[in-house]
This record gives sequence, C-alpha cells and structure tokens, in this order.
Amino acid sequence: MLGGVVLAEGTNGFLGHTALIVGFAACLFGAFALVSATVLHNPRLLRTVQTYGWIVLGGAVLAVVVMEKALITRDWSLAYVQKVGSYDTPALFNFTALWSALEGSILLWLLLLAVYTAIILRRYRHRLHDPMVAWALVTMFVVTAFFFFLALGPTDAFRAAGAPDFNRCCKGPNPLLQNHVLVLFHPPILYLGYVGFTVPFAFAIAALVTGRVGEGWLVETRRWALFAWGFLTLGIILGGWWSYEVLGWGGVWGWDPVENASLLPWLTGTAYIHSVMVQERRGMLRVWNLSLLVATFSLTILGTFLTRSGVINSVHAFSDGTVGPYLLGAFGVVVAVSLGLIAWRGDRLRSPGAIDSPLSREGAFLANNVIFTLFAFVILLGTVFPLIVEAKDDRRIAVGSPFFDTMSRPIGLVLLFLMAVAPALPRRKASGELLRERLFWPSWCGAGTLVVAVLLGATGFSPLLAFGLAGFAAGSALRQLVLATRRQGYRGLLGRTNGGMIVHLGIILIAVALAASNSYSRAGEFTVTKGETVEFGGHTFTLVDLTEFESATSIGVKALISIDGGQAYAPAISKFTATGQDVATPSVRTGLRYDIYLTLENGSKPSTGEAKFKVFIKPMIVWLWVGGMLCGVGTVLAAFPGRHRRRPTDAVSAPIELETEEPVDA
Amino acid sequence: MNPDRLAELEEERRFLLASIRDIEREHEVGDVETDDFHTLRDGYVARAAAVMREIDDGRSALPPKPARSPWRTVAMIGATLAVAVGLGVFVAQSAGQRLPGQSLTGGEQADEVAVKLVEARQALGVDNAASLAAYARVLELEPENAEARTYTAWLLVQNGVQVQSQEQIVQGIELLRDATTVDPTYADPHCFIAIASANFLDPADPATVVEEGQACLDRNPPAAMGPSIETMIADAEAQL
Repeated sequence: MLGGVVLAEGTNGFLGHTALIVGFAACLFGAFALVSATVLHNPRLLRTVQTYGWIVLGGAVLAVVVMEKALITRDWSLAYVQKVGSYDTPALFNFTALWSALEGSILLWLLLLAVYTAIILRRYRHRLHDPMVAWALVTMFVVTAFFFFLALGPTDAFRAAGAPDFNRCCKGPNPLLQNHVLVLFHPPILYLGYVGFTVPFAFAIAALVTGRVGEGWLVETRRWALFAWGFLTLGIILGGWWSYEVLGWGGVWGWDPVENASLLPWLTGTAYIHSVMVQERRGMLRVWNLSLLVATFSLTILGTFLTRSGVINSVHAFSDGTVGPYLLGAFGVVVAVSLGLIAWRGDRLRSPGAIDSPLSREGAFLANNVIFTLFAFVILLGTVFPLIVEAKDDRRIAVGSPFFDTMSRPIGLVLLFLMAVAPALPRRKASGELLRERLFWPSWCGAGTLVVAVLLGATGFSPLLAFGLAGFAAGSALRQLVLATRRQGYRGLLGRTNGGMIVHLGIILIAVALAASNSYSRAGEFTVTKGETVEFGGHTFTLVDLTEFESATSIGVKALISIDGGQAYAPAISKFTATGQDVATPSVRTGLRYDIYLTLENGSKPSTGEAKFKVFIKPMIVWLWVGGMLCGVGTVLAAFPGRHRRRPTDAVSAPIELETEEPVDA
Repeated sequence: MNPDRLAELEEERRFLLASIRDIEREHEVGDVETDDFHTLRDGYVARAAAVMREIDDGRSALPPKPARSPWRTVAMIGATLAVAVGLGVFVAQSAGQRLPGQSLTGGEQADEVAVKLVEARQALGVDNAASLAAYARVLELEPENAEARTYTAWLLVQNGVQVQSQEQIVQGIELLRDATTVDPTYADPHCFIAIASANFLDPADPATVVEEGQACLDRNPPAAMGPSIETMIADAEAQL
C-alpha cells in the first residue's frame, strides 16, 4: 500500500507531503496539549509539548531538505521543480530557486517559523506551566499550523506533475533571480524579519488572554522585537542593493507593491520599538503598543497576500489564485481576534497616568508614533487604492512614485527633526534652559552641515533642509554616545538607548544618501562606436570593446567602457534563452562622493561595434549601504544590556546607581 | 495594582477554587477523612477569601476610565477623518490609468499619449469610432505620432471599403504615405499601403504592392503580417 503511494507520488513528493502532514499534526497536538495543560492543569501533557515542537521543526526541515534535493537532482515528477527548475541553472541559483516562487517561499516561511517556535520552546522549557508562555506557544503553534496548511493545500510545493514538456516547462527561475548572489541573502533575511514579529505578537496575544497586560510580556519580547526589526531593516536595505545592482534602472527604491509590502511592517515595527519604552517606564500606551504589534504582524500577512495572491496584477487574478482567500481570511481573523481581546481587556489596559508635557521624551515618542503610523497609512492607502478602484469600478489604475515621493518627503523631514530632539528630551517635562543646553551642539552640527552642503554646491530647499536636519539629528545622537562612552567606556555603546543612537546614525546616513541621490542624480544616454569617447558629468567614457557572450542560460552583449581613460567597466545585457527575457547587468564605479552607474541598452551591435549605453551619476549612494550596516551593528549593540541596568518594569522612582538609558548631564 | 499582579491573583483564585472542588469530591467518595477534609477545606477557603479580597482591592485600584470631553473625541475623530479624506482625494488625483505591464504602484505615471494609444489599440476592430477618437486625441497632443497617423489613415481606408468609396480609400493611402515619412523605420504604414493597393483599390496597383510590401518586410513588421504580405507580393509580381 505504502509502496503504491510512494510510486504514485514519487519519493520526494511522498517524503515532502509526509513531513508536512506530520508537522501540521504536531502543531495541532502541541497547541492542544498546551491548552489542555493550562486550562485543566494537567502537567503530564506539558511534557509532550517539547516533543511536538521538535517534530514541528523536523517536519519543516525535512520538507525544505526534500525540496532542495528535488531541485538539485531535477526531480521533474514535482510540479514546482518543473516550474522553477532547469538543467541549465547554475548551482547557486538552483539552490535559491526554493524561494523563487510562491510554493517554495511558503516552505521557507514555514521553516523559519518552525525554527523560531523551537527556539522559544527551548528558551522557555522550564516555564511551560506559566500561562503566559503557554498561550504564547499556542499562538505560535497555531500560526505555524496555518502555514503548514498552506504548504499542504493551496501552495503545495510537492504536487505531482506529469511528464515534463521541455518546450513549455523547466526553464528555471525568473531571470532576475539568477543574476546576483544577493538572491541568497535578501529573501531569507527579509523573511527572518517578517516571521520574527510572530514572537512578540504571540506574547501580546498571551498577555491579553491571561490578563497579564502589564509590562512583563514586553520584557520577554524586547529582544525578539529588536532582532525581527533588525532583520527586516537589513532585508529591506539588501533589497535596495539588489535592485540597484540587478535591475539596471539606477535606483534603489521604486515604490512598487512588493517594496511597499515590506516597508509597512517596518514602519509600524519602528513605531513599536520606540513607544514600548514609554510603556516600560511609565505604564502608558498599553493599547497603542498592542495595536502596533497586531498591526505589524497582520501587515506581514497582508503583505504576503498582496505579493503572493496574484492581486497585484489584477484583482481578478486574485479569484483565480488559491492562496489569496486564505491569506486574506487569516488577516481578518488576526485583526478580529486581536481587537476582540483588546476590547475584552480594556479595563486593565488603561494607563495609570498621562503624558505630562509634549516637551518630554514621552511626548516626542508619541509624536514619532503618530508620524510613523501616518506614514504607514499613506503607503497602505497608495498600495491598495488601485485594488479598491478596480474591484469597485473595474478600472485599472496605478499610483505612481510622485504620490509616494510627495508624501514621504515632509514625513521624513519631520522624523529627522524628532530624531534630533527626542534624545535630548528628559522624561516627564523639559525646561527651556535644559533644552538650550542639550541642543546647543546638535544645533551647531546641523548648521555646520548645512554650510558644508551649500559650499559643496547643494541647492534646493528640500534637500538642504534634509541635510541640515540630518546634521542636527546626527549631532544629537553623537552627543548621547559621547556622554555615555565618557561615563562607561566601550559599554557606553551598549544598551537600547546607545545602540539605538547608532541605529539613528545609520538611518540619518540613509536619509542623506536618499535625499542627495534623488535630488542630484544625472543621467545621459549615448550611442558610440568602438574607440569613441563621450563626455558627461565631468568624466570621459570610452568604448574599449563590445563583445557577444554566451552562457548555459543566456546570450548577451558586453561592453568595456573606460572611465577617464582608466579602469574599464563592463555593463552587459543578456537575453535568457529559455524565457526570452532581457536582463541588464549594470556596472558601477563606487565612490565616496558619487557612483558612476553604467548600463548597456538594447540596440548595441557588436557586428558594427556600436554601443548604446546610459550613464547615471548617483551622489552618495555608498552611504546608503554604510547606513544599513550601521543599523545592523546598532541593533546588535542595542540587544546587549548596558551596565547597572534597572529592571525595565521597575517604577521610575526605583533606586539606581547609574542608569544607561538616560542622558545624565545637566 | 499592576495588571500582571492582578492576573496572578486570578490564577491563584482559579487554583484554590479548583482545589476546594477536588477536596469536596474526594471527601464524598471517602478518600479523605472528615477531620482532614474540614482542615484542608477551611484552609483553602480562607486563602481563597484573602485572594478574592485582594482581587477586589486590585480591581478598584485599576485606573478609572478617564473622563474625556465629548468635544475632544469629536475633534479627534474629525481630524482623523479629515486627514483620511484629504489623503484619499490626493491619492485619487495622483492615480492614473495602468497600462499593460505597468505595476500597481511606483514608477512614473503614464502620460496621456501612452494612455490614449492603449485605448485606441484596445478599441481597434471592436469600436473603430472610439479608436479613431483616441488617435485623434493623440494627434492633438503629438501631431507627429507615427502610430496615430498610420492607424487614422488605415481606419479611413477601412471606412472607405465599408461605404464603397474609392475616394476615401485613395485619401487614406495618401495619408499612409505621409505617415511613412514621420518614422522611416516604422513598418505598419508600408504594410497597409500594400494591403490597400492589393485588395481595395480598383483597379489594384501591383507595382505599389511589390514596392511597399518589400518596404514593409524590410522593416520587421508584426509577425502575423509577414506571411500575408509575402503572398501579396508574389501575387502582384505574377500580375506585373
């Protein structure tokens, strides 16, 4: 009987399905055991939970390993392998083909979720009797079960296929996903961020179920939220880098729906990791923080729906897809259950106090939260508006970059201002004298930056304001770091506030780089013959050579273009033979002041030695990547506790010798 | 009272009440001596009473519902609605038609010429009057648009065929000849002149068919058009 099933499905299909079914069942049993043990106080059932956790992890790992094996060995009996596999795909991109389409992406998501669940289970193995931990794990098991269900049903990666018709199938992943090594890092890191927010969400649900909606659950999840945010940040930056290095349009961010879907949870997550500090210190903003976490988690689901259901192409594609209704249903359930629980616990979520003054750290955090939420709303509205119009009026419309640029510019400037002022503000309220003293050097930094920018030739109100505010914010962050390191040496770089200031410096660099590259980029298009030189942006470009090349998957044309008579750069354009898709490979001379970005255009003819190429001069792009790295470093440093820490849930009046979270000057 | 402490007390209350039920059950079936039962039960009851008192105190110590001015609530709702409506109007004004292959969001908004050309192509053969109107708008915006000039002329030829007007057909062919000068690399006007000269002119003009048909093939015409043009050239050459 079993042999018959294996023969019918193929070994990989059978193993994959078995792993998924076992994992799914283990999730349900694990959740059931936890609920029973918690409600019926049956400690014997608790002992089984860890086992279920390991089975869940084992199921997810096995499913992924089997799929990788199927891709590597080109097991054409599986429909997914026919969809994204090919004999010609290089080994690296054959490996990453796992997450190059919907079904495999869900497997990757599932694997990461199972890993997070197993880590939480291991971390809290001695506290499973604690209802808070138990309900958090129930939530994680349920979410994991949902993804097992998707992987088994609507997005079945192990679905059997008939004999492959090599004229129609087996052409490998999308050519854009086999053109750069970043495909190995960007999606998994982004997913680590998306999936990571499940942990704080699970504890938030547990806090609501158990009624322990004080500050205890925040302490449990602080680092999880921080790491999820860090991974999401890094994933988004890597996505920008990939776009810059692969897509050949010279930009890092195009406001397309997939990018917007990743930015939405980042915005609400950023708001959360700021406002959570107000709750830890003052017990305020409890409903707000829970709502932000629920929003962050549900936006990851909504983002998956937007990018994976086919709805982006058309709302009508949504009805053809199988996964869309489930993701949308999950989004609805998450929102409804969470809001219901918040309403149920309303009496306990009231704040014991109010914000004393808008000129206080709490006031600044609240303002920051309002701005981040507004930003998220703007992006969400812009992204779903075309869908709403199409569903209602059957009109296909698009919301272009100008809308997002117009809205994000003032919001970004306000955030830079808040980033400058908030670190200098004390809790409760600030006097004018104190603010003058604390903002003295940051203000000079802002003014100095503005003067330097003007001297370097920067023009335009908006970018100059951005540079001035960036200098102001950088001064504020550096002041905090200098004071902290003076007091505590290298430990002054550790802890949430100090690590956070390093993250601020990273974000400021990113903001400056974006302002400069968006405002002062120049582009020129040229047609030259071999040996001919053109001049653009103060540089000369000489076409040294133009050759055809051929690989297993593509044919193409590559130019050698010497910049200023020196090193030659090699932009290329390839046509992937399986799909006929043209993919440009830009070549970039990276510099501290600006990048010179070269792309070869269609119409270049090696036979006549005539090349058509574009040159982009992109100011300060490298600082975007440096800023991203600083964000990563800052996040890690923020996760280490500083010295002489007070328990975050202690009252503000609790005695402490020295505190790392506050500036102590003045 | 901190909500976490309150929840702990409630958990303890649940445990104590369950313990009282258990001990009563055990006593009923004779598993516990009556003296022991009373001692244990009284202990649990006393503890449960103390916990319940603490819970009551804790609940009454929870922050009361803040008294909010209704005007403040109305103002907040009003401000939120105003922002939402304002943003909605702005996004609606910023949105434009999505062309085939264009993403839902991002990128530059398609200009009117591109939008009208798509409309005209979609209407072609289905609603020629709408197609003609869309091409007319393109020519208002961009008088030298090769596609609009070509297809306006071609629609005139087709109308001439429908109403059996050689005059209109000749006029359309002349306009197609003008269109060939706008973009010398564009195949379509050459193809249409060849088709009209072969099929609609009375009498047919085989010399033009051969000349323009060859010009069409030299300019990489749409794949579907190539074979029929080749056939027309062969037929015309046979007539010459």
